[in-house]
Amino acid sequence: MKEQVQQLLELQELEFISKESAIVHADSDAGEDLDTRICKKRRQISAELLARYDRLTQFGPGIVVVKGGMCLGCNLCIPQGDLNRMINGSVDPVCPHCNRFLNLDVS
Amino acid sequence: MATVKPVNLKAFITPDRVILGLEAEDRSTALEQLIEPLIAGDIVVDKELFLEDLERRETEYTTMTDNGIAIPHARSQAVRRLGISVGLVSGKGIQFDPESDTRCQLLFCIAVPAFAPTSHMPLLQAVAKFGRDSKRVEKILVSKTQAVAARYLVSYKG
Repeated sequence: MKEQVQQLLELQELEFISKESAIVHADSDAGEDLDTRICKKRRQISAELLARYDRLTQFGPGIVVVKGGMCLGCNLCIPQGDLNRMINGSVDPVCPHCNRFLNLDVS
Repeated sequence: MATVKPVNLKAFITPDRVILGLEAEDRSTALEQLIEPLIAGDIVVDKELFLEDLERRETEYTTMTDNGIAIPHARSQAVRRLGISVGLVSGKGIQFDPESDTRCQLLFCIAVPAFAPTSHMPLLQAVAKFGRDSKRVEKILVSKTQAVAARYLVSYKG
């Protein structure tokens, strides 16, 4: 699961870059190369996770950071016990409140 | 393209965030200078890490446009809050993108905190729109003081 979340994180970064490039290079077809890379990345992720990620990204980032024990997707606190279990890998790194994937490497 | 709300540049651009007569041989030197006002403003806390993140973002896809405007930006753990610095290049410009012959005259460096990865989109849209207006770019490039340049940018309503 941790590897899949890492793949999702890379996908999210590519999608952000694609959006940024669309803003910066408004008049050109700048995003073609990025679109190819996004498609390639999406093929490396399981369909189930991808569907969940796509649902989440309709309302903001699909993967968010935990800061001070708080999910920065929904701004609700995650119990420390849950966080510990996510860190040691016994539970999926997913916010119990908003269901967003959690990037636990950034604090 | 996602629709984003317009941003008030006044909240971000102050005279001390503007560098007049920026002189640099290459991209990394220019970026180093652009980070300085952000460090002084307590927006960036780790220069090396942020510089690394900016360079990584540039290698993913260039932020320089065909008309010589560059908007380097990066999500980074070295950033405490959203911020921007502006560099007006003196002389013939900087070779910002090694793959392009266009020399860069105007730079906007945006620092994006890692915990708010899309917070910069309205700011990016505002400066990108400014950069596409060649008359305004020409006018800002002849600014005599930092305050004049900042005021001119802030007055831009897009």
